[in-house]
Amino acid sequence: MTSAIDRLSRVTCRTVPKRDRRPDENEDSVAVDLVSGRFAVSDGASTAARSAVWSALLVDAFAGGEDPLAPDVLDGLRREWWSKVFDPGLPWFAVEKLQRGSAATFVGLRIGGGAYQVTAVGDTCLFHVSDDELVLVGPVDDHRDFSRYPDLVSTHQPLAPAAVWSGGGAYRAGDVFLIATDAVAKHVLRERVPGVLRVCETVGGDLEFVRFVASGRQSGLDNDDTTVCVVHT
Amino acid sequence: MYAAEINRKQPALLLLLLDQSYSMSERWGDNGKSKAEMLALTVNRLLTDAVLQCSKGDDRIHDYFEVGVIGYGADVQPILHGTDSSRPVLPISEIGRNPRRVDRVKRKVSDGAGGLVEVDLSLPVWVDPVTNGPTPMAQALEAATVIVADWCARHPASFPPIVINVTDGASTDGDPSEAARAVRSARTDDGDVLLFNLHLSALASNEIAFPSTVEGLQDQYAAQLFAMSSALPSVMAEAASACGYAVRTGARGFLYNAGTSTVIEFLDIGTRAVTPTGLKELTAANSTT
Repeated sequence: MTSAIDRLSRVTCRTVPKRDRRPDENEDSVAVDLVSGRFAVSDGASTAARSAVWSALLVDAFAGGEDPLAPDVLDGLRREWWSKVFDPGLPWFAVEKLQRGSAATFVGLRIGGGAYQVTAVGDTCLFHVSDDELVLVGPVDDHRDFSRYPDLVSTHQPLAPAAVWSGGGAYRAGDVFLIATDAVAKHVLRERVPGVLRVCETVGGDLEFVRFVASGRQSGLDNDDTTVCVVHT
Repeated sequence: MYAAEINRKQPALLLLLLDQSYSMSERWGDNGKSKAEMLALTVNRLLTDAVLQCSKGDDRIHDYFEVGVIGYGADVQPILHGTDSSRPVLPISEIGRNPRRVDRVKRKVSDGAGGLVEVDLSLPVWVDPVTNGPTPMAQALEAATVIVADWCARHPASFPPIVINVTDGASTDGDPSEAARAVRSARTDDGDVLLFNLHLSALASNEIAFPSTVEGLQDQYAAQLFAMSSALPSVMAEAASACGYAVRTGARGFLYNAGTSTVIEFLDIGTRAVTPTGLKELTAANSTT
């Protein structure tokens, strides 16, 4: 089968939960479809209900060829989230929490035919490095601009058009794309290109990435679920 | 100081002291309810929010903090359902699973896709209004001292306990200042216990919020409660500023002649520290960290 990204040399995704949390408590999600050249990462809001389910729905929809930010698709995903998480036998606090809804950041990247497009909401960021130049970074492009209240894709609140960031352009063989949830994105933006390349060097193995995150948390990396997806063209 | 991360291994403690004296039966606000009824509603709502902050929407409640409520009037005793004098505070998971009762009302809510669905809204109740007897504030503060001192010894790395005393009148069992000092002298490695005082007034006139000096306080009683109150840690002061209060350096966690809305707002500000991700977490918004 011919892949839209035949020329991609390597795609690697890694994720680490918050310190002292189990892997099944990680609320980040990542999905990849190599055939269509689609990559998505979502960071579920820790204060929201069942946000791991919501973030997974968003990335799976994107990798499956849909635009989860399109109103009709988003409405369908919201209904799917509710049907997955709601059970009338749940205790009062779970039902009340679910009624307050879920939320997550989102980045979807599509690569193919020498061009790429990215759509994002919140502070999970895309970095495109070409010839040691940071060609594109967003939605947040300065480490001082991260806050505790990023824009989010919500199950209950309307998605404001202004919250959606998009970009794109051409890429060449040897370019690197990094999608990173906010803790790593903020860390990387302090160094920019060297920061991107440092992350790319650590994703070769799970243990290597775990050590990178553990070490980073000793020196300013926020204690958060941490997920990266690295695409080498 | 006042920077300890609040997590499951390092929970925080919220201890409320509620005046249950006879005068709390006076009407408060414009909805026909008494001070005691409004206060019980507010506390139950606060506890509901606390439980929900520790829920992910499944059958688990994560124990980020512990809560106790001491009532003082005819008696001084733990009044939170499930507590007694041998166990005056409970982890939030036990509180969530064990309300005295859960009242239910029907409400239409968004289905997330532009429509409305009718759902049963749960109104859990842990504290019922009680009005009986005098105002033994000193005794209540002494009881609080025992609780927080024991708790601090068992949680030395935690954010220090937050004690909020809600009253509508003067102490009837003597000067409570020394007992208040004893509460504030308990400490964890992260700082002294925070004691905040809320004085309710049916009139809600001449309301004073977060004063930084005793100057301008109307009477000796207000000055006494001011002196009994801890200074707001900087992040709480910032939260109060963000709510529109004129907060100066050295502002105390103290309200005088407060009406209902100010008390609700104060409880929100004063308990923001007791959230799963710490002081910077606002209860009304979603954070991804």
